[in-house]
Amino acid sequence: MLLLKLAFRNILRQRRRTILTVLSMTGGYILCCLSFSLTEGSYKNVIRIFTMDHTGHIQIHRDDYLQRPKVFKGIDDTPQQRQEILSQPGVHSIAPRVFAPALAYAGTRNTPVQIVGIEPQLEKTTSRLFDKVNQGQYFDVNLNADGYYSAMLGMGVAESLQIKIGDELILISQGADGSIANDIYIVTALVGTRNSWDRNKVYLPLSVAQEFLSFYGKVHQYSLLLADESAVDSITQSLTTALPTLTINPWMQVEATFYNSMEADKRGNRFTLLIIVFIVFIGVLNTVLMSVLERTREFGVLKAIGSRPGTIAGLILIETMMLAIMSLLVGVVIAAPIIAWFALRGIALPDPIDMGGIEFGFMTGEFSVGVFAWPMLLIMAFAIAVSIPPGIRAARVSPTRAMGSF
Amino acid sequence: MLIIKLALRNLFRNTRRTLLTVLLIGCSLSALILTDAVLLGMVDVMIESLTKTLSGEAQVHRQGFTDNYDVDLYMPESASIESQLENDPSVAAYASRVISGGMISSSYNVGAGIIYGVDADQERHLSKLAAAITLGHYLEDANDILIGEPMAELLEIKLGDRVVITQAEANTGELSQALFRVAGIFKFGVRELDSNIVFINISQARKILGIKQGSHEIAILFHDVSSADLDPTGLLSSLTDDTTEALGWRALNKDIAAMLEMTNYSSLIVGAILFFLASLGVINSMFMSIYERIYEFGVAKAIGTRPFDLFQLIMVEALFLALLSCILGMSVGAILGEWYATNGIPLGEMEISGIAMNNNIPTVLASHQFTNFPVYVILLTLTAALYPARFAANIIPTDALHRSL
Repeated sequence: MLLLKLAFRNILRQRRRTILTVLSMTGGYILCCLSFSLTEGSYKNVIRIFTMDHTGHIQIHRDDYLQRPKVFKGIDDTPQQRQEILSQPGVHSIAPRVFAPALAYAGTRNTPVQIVGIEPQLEKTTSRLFDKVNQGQYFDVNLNADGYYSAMLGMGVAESLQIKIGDELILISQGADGSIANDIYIVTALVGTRNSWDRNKVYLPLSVAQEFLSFYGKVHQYSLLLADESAVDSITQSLTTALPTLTINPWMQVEATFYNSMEADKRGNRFTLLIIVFIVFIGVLNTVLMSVLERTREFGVLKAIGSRPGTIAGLILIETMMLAIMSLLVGVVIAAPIIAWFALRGIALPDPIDMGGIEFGFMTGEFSVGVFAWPMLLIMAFAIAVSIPPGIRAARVSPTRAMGSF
Repeated sequence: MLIIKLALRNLFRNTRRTLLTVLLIGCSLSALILTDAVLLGMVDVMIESLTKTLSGEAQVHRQGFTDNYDVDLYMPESASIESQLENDPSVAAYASRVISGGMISSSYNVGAGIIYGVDADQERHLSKLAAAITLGHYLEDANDILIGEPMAELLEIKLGDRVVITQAEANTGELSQALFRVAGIFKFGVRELDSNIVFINISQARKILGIKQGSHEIAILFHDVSSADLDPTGLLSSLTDDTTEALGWRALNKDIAAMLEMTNYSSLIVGAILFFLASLGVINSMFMSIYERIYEFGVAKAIGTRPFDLFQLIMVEALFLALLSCILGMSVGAILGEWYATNGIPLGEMEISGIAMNNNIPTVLASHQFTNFPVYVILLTLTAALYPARFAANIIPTDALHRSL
């Protein structure tokens, strides 16, 4: 207690210096919090957008379909199979999908597209496709009055083909058995925008796509949404053991380029922060060292009346920690509202940046304990490190010489 | 002169403090120089990879072609544009291309892709295509096709295999097919190009599409990349009319141009933060040195020194501090910057706006880092010293002499 009291008095002896030191540490802390909150928040937001939009949190494929998509690499799609996956703890919903490249024709125009076969009702629970229909009706699996099945087109396809709702669309592709597949469909809806992921997609009902590709009873992919997105790793593990014949790919593998870019960006950010905090603490070291030097005489007296070196070093440590704690308190008070604002409102970038195939257009903050706690640990660690050299110096003061020095 | 002598002596009376302060300001300056050098390096890598890989520094198209790459929108008179480019002094290289979407099928699989019909000789000077070939050879025979590594893997083909390209003819939409032999496998290292594009000879591409002459795109490289922005010979504007448009890379890649603008801001933000933190350190250490000498200042004032002289003294001290810091900061910045310019900064795998940056980013040192930044640092240090200097100037002799005893 005595040490605490002493330390407190000491740092209040030079108010201006204390305030300036606290201010620079506060600045460093707020900067760390903000940067931390903005990167975590923005990336989480982007990840939420694309996982909910189309990738899902986990995708299940046969073998290496993700890296080498071949039409014949299919999963046997049975009700039992779906039920088994859905019954795993933490799995919220499942959507089976079939993919194939194709050429689409309308009138005299044509464009390369990707066919996506989906189960209309299940897809609603797993991706935002239903909400992205901006013209026409979300389709069903039934034949229309003229005996055609319906298709939904991405905006890019619709623009290239200059096609409208109700028009005929011809698809040509290669079936899973190597045969040539072609058929006529009626456009019932347009989805997304000309820049969204769906721009080059043609959606068909699952059974229709399977028939078109001679791919009966099989799918290429199950896309899963989880109840809790942070449980991706553990659920990937449990699915891998539960389904040994299939390949379980969490979104980090599905969007590997984005994930790697994100990790690289985060590393870069952490490095920059470390340098800034380092510069801040050169200043702090300066202050602490000065305050020790100007009290050399006092330390001499303390030692002469029997204080042990450890006590004096401890005093310096406590003083620095007090400065750090004061800075952190001020820092939290200032940073909290700023971060809360970023978390609630966020800022839109003037132009979205394409990062590894994922569009990044919005900066938003994350408001959580970690955002405040990690920078705190960093500042405290630096504060302890910085109090060591002055502490040793103070502890080594020789009483006779110190008191002789006026 | 007296003031300069006094200031220097004062600074070195407490060498440790001076050194720590110099270290603080110097580190800020070198951090700033390095941040800017890394950003410049990234920008260079991005522009280089964007323009030198395939797309060139400027492109000529039919109006509206870039909206959705409509096969019908080709330039029938591309030959006359080419001769104009040939005679323009600012142009280093150009290449005509026929571009269309199609299906590429092997005996195992089928993929959709973009088919580039290119002139083998022109392309050699414009893009990195010839250098990007990892297996086999460049376009030689009429039926040669070059395919990217990921697409070759998808189609399960190797050198010498046959592939069929299915396309619709321009204007009529008639389906037409042609057989090609895989002559080479290429890898630009840019995912979008490697997995989506195949290259064939331009004459073949015209034949499949039923085009007699002309092309969809003419890519241009200049002797000096700034020509794409400045257009010194009026080339780009003269090629832009009701039917054709000629655009520099910034206009063709608006999102990347916008992002490059943003990197300037991030340099500014880092600089502002560093300067703010450094200035707190400067104020602090100036105050410490003043407090130590408060008795001296009291004496100096008592014997008739004017407040302005003391103010000047502190400012001169700050100036020396700043100069020393600049020397330290610039040397550290130059040494590290030079080292990383040859070795590159490992940032890990990154892909921004379709541009892969998998290699280490070499830093780029520029003259403004060593002329403008130090000036900012000196100005900042002087600004930070204003408050302590005013404090020293306003010391009341009686108080000072009294307090320090």
